Amino acid sequence: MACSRLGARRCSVGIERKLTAWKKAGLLTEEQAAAIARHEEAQASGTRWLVWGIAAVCGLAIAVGIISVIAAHWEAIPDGMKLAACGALLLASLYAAWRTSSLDNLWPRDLFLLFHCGMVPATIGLIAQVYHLSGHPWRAVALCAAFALPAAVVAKQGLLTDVFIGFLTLAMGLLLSEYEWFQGLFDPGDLRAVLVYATFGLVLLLSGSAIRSAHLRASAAAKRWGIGLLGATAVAASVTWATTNSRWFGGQPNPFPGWPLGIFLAAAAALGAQLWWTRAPALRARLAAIALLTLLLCGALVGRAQESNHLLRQFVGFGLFAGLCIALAMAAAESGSKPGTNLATLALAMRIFIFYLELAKDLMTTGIGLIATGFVCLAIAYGWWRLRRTLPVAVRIGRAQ
Amino acid sequence: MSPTLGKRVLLAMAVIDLLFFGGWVMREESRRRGGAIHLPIEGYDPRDLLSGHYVRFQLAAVREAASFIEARGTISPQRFCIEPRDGLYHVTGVRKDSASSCSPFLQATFDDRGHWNFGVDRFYVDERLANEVRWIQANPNTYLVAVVDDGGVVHPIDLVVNGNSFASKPASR
Repeated sequence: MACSRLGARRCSVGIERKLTAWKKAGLLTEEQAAAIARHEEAQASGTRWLVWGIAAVCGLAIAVGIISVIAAHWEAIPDGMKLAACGALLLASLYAAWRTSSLDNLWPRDLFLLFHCGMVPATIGLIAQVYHLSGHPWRAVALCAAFALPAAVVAKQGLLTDVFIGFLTLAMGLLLSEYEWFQGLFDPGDLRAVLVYATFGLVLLLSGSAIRSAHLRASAAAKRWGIGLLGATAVAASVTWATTNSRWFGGQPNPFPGWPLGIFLAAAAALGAQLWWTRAPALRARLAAIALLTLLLCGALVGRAQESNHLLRQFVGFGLFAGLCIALAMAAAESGSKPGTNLATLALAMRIFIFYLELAKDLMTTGIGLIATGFVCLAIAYGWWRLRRTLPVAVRIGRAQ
Repeated sequence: MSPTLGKRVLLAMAVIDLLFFGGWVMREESRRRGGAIHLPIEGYDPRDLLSGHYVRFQLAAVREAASFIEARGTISPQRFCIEPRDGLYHVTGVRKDSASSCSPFLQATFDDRGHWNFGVDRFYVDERLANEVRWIQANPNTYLVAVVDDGGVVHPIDLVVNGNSFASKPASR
């Protein structure tokens, strides 16, 4: 824990108080406490972060300035020189990564690789500009993803994996939009793009577990993206559950291809089997989350033909989303992930608020409904405390190990 | 990953960069060698004319090809014969598959809007020159200079608007 200079005193007092408490509880010896205090003091006393901050701002200013000067004379630069300079920068970034790969700290190498990942789309764009090439944009982005993959494999940080998956996600979106799969995204039943992205999210989760032993940070990045994509698809499906207007009544619907649903179900089954096989922590909660997500997405498809009982649809959709959030919160809590628990709880709270808006249609009724719900929840918590004389406590990290 | 293996991957990345991008540039250069033809352009909407620094346009061949064969429901890609008329090349008919019935020719696929797509609909111009293109009308002095390769693919070289070339125009005017 590093303290800024301004807050150093307050931070130091806080650490001393904590150390005293831990020593009193028998968690730390005198020597350990002294070593921690010395370490924190050394971290806090340095002004290197300020120097690094100023240097970074100066470097950024110079880089942006050079880019601006080049942009101002862009037409005056011969095409050959532009291409040669771009190629030189592309290769120079790799050479710099090569030179810095022997250092103990591998951040510089990974930053040069990140620069290379940025130079690849710049080179593609320059060639397209010089030769006036037209084409589907997804191809260029997919090419960037292909070039980013070896960098993600080599890099120590998960950042390069984020870049690779980001390119891949974007390329997929551009490909789907080329075939107009995003049109009518929130119309009941038209969840082709959502199912493809949900499958991609599940595949990322599977890949994250598979590469965990080989590349821990890449695995964490894959899981981040997988959970993020699945969260986005769950929100999209949830909107579909609550939608009243439908183009199915107006025009001729697009025929729904079965393969997006097929690959999603296969990926969900594979992830469930993998969790079962590896005896993952919070197994039941995780399997329940997969099952609820499947019901949420597939149920939105079932509702495509008729919407006679819209209120029931809304309630079922809300219930599935809420159940999914609860399962995720439980899985995260049992695995010792505090941010995961908080995010899932936040998503649930937001969904409850939106559900009130969906039902009540105005802020007044929503407000009264929320106040009433809040008091009911408080009453339940108080009742629990009166009966058990204790409140439930989240399981800590130790369970996950 | 061991440092040695990491360095090998970096070396492989450099070789791939060199081969891929170098090969791409050489391919585009070689495709632009040969006799250039003039293809008339038309049908652009001034409100939609500029997208970034690219001038968007439509080849007259799109309309001319549609008069010979409708894009929807036909086999894609199709090849269309072109012949010069008043210095500009126009579509004169559909090229037969069996024999070399005409040369040069243009290849087109149909796009999602049901139009023939010749794979070229934009040309890069400097932002400061872009405003000049904003209000022009299609006329005999407005055309795309391009090389058509053996497969009927169009490779743009220059955009000429009202007789003025944009490829050789200095940006400072």
